[in-house]
Amino acid sequence: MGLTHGTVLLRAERLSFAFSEGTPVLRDASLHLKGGASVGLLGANGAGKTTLLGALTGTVRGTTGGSVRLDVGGLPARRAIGFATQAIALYPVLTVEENVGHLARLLLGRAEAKAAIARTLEEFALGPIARTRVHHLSGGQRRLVHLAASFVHAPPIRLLDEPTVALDFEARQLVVRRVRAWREEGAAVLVTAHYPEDIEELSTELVLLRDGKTRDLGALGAVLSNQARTLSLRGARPVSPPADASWELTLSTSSLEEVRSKLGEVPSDVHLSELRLSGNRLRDLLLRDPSLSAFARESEGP
Amino acid sequence: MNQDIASSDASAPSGVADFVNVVRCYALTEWRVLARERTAMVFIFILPAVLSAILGPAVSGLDAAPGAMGRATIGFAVMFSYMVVTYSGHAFYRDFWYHTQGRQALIRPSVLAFAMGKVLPACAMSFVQLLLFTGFAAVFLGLPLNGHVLQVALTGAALVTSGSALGFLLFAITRSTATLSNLSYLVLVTFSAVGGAIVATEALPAWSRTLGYATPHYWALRALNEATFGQGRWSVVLQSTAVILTFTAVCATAASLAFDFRNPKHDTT
Repeated sequence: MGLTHGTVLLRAERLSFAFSEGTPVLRDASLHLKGGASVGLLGANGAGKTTLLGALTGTVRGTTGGSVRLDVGGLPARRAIGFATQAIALYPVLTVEENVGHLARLLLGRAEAKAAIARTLEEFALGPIARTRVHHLSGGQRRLVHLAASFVHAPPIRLLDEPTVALDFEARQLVVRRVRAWREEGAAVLVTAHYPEDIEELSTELVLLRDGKTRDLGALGAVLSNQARTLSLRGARPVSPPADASWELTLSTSSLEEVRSKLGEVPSDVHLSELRLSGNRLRDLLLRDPSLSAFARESEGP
Repeated sequence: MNQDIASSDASAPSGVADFVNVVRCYALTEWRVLARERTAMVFIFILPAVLSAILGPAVSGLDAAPGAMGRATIGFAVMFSYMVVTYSGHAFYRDFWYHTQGRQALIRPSVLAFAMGKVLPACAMSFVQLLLFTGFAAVFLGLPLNGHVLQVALTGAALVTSGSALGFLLFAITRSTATLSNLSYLVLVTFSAVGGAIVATEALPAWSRTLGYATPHYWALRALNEATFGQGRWSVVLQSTAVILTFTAVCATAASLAFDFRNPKHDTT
């Protein structure tokens, strides 16, 4: 299907979910996934992020309420949604190509599968290990194969539960590039991650899940622009023991202007590395841009 | 077009081609796994061959009868062909071992096509084993073949299908591989014992024979005996096959009712 940026492809309204044991996990969760956008789902451990993904895809069994509706041009749900679960879902004795091919043939049929397999292996840089059995691969490689298999059918809606676990820097960057490419192609992406830094790189919009309820936080940029920049001054005590004891002064401010004004008394011709405060030598000055980490700590806290 | 993911049957396969594709995909993957893990080959082919050679007609209770060794070989073949119960059950549990069950729950293929694809390779292995052992017994062990080879094939196909259906049922009603394996070994031994696969029915006590009527093994051996030692009457073979297929239908129906792609299992190792 031709993907339209901005169109809501998946609309979940007032979802509730409880496992058969009776513990309610979701109480009132709503979510809109738009083409060309990537929603980062924030929430503490045990908040129900994985369960929400399960409820969205209908893959968990329990007492459910609310509705999940797709607007994907009549594409069947199995073709419209790709779901990379947190646990790596691969057959270990099968090769990379066989694992990806199994799903390609199942979802696309033999005629379309060949091209889809080749394209996916290339996208995830799996060509060199295509004929290797999965049980011979590293954890990070398995994660990439898992992602490749999950999205081999190029679904317009892509759900990723902790996609960066066990990935090294290069593989992580590959995933970031893939998610951005999917967005540009018009796919709707929903992603959860352990680390806010990952959410920051993978998302354009944020939703917070807390107490079984979702809160739409809006665009990532807007969330970050409301966060304070942080100025850290680190120095060393050259005289008093212990000799390597360090000190740190952190100033939080919402604008660079404010930072400048706080440093206003420093003459412009003085190198900051030579600055001495209260008799201490300044070792480092670090101005941190707003990040999701501080926000996540505040939002996900008890 | 809007569609409600919870109530829509949009995931259901559309038509025969899709059904065949689903069967083929799961069967191919399952075949690759079974062939590379090899334990199924050992239990279905090698173990009955070894036991037949070691124990032979001494176990059958027919050591004086002509073709007794061949008869014993068929008994062991029937007994171990029912390893199809274990391997069919494992085929479904495999998705929990490898965390692929979520994919099946999302894709939600036709249950019949999914189940057929899953059990087909184990079924085929057991079926081939029965034919090979019967052929070997006929050629080398003096087993007569008074009926038609098609009678042997039909009986074998019915027997392994019943085992697959039972394996599917045991998967659907159990929560762990250990439980499934224990139950399937229990089935393997008791069905074989009272069904006449280990000791010939004629040598069993009356109460055992009565119990044996409830097992596919009894009916399979009845049909095989008719095709080999007997007169090769199709009525006997078809009647026996019908009983086995009824057993299959009951198991498959119960399994389908109990089965849900979203059902959790405790065992994921």
